[in-house]
Amino acid sequence: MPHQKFLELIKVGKTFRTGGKKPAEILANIDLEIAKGEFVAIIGHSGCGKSTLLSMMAGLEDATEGSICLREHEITGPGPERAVVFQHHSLLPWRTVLGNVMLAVDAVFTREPKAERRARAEKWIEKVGLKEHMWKYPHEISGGMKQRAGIARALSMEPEVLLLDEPFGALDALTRAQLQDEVLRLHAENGLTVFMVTHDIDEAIYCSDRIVMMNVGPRAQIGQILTVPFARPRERISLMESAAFAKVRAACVRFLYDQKWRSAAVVPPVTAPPAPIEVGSAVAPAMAG
Amino acid sequence: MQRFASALDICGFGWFAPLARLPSSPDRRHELRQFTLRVGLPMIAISTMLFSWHVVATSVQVGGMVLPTPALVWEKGIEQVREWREDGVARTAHSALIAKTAADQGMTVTEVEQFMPFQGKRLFISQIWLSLETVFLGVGIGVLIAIPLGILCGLSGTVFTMANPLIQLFKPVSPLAWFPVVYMIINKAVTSQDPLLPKSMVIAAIVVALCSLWPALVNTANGVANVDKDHRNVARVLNLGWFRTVWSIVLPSAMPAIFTGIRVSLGVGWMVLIAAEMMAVSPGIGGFVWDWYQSSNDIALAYLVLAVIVIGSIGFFLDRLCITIQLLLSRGAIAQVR
Repeated sequence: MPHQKFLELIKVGKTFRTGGKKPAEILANIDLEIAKGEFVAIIGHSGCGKSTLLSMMAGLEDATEGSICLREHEITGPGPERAVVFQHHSLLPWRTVLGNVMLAVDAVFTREPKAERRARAEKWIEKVGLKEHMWKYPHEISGGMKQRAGIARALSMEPEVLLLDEPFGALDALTRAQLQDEVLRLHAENGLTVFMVTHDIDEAIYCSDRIVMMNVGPRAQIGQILTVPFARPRERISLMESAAFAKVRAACVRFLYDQKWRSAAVVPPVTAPPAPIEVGSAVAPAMAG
Repeated sequence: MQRFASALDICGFGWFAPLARLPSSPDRRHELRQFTLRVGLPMIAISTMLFSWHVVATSVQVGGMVLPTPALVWEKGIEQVREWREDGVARTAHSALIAKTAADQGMTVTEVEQFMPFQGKRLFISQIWLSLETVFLGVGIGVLIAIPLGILCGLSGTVFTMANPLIQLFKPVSPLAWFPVVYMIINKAVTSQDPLLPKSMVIAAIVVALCSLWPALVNTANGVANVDKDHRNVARVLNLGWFRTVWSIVLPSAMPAIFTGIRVSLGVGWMVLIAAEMMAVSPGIGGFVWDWYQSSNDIALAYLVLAVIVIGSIGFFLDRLCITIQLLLSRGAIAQVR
């Protein structure tokens, strides 16, 4: 990966000040550099501020400390060069799949004639495999299709950075695997830079180049950054069966378990080893915490 | 048939839906039982009510006055329908006569109408139409004020904080309190001898508007303020302008709430209308009720009870109409009918 300053987080912190209550410091001192074309996943326990970090990168929330820069320009608000796929598809229920994508295309490519915009929208709908369903309303299609439509809407803006906020969290394992492959394909085809919040360790390892692991909040920081040493394109089954995958996975699980014990202020029982790791299992252990 | 059944459901004739499904249903006994339940249970309640009414009316006398029985009220209702029909026939005959006279004398129809006006009675049933016009005019004015104001209140906390005390202050004001204010102003303001709309109708409509705009306003503000956060974020990520955001994100998602508001407003408006018409001596249903009330005899009581039932039925019908429109506008229902 050639190293150039693309997306930069410099000493980013977030404090929520709600009237009367003690201000809640969610994130502190986040330093991170993401190269163009890189796929970075971020994992951590619930409430550690992963999604808040993503919102700040999207420009939906302001960083209370530090700054986030894209190509050395500070991010001050949302913009079409940073598209977001939200956790709950967030399609407009009164618009068809095409209508939802058109909303984005119309907003971004205001100068193009209508026919070209329409062609753009259809191109992206086709790329996520929804061509036959583009006239359907969100309530008429499955959860996986909705998430696909969300991805098509995000990509139709032709962004440089794709921000995924637990995009497949609500899907079943098979659909999720399918969509992961699609996102990887789109990432490779379009030279996108992807930042993905996830709860699923396997997903993080399978998809990303680096995994950012967060400490437990409040005042969460980056605990560890793990480089995923697998070449692309990746082949799911053989990768997940490999010993190298199990090793990376074990490192992630150990880190998260460690965090959990620390947050609960309980010393882990000496007799119980830190959770046996099944190599090849496609499902991550429950990360509720 | 399934489609017809869903259409019935949407139009508020859900009671008949099982019957419509009957021919194609795999479980006919279930559909029949459903129909019996949905039609039978209300029937039991209605007959019980009618029976008790009859018993009370025939056995109790209030200060020598005979209370109207259901049969008497029914009879008066039929009588009104008959008078209305006869009136219709007479009107047709009269306009034919006018046309003939005009042709014979070589004059225009309007000229003939001037010295040969139709000498008909004011009829209860034809006044219903006038009342409906008044209520739609009033609620229309109210809604036209309420929705833009509600959108502003919902979008901006500042506007809401400014407007809220005023809303709370005027919301509970009775139409009877508004009436004299509106009456005096309109009476002085409208000086034309031949205004576009009858003065009494305008007064009644304005009173209706003043009382019915609040539910639409509050509901719109709520609907707009509670737009899904994700949807707002979509608008922000797309950098949609203020107008586009309101038009393509806020309004569509607030639509159900706005419609509920309009529905409540129409209900309030209908209730207020009768009072407003009574006071304005407008020739609507309220005016009729007032006339009958003034004549205060035993038969008038039967007419008044009839008016109560008619007013109730029309209110019910208006509410159903709103629900139907609302259902038709929501995508789920459209998909069902398709």
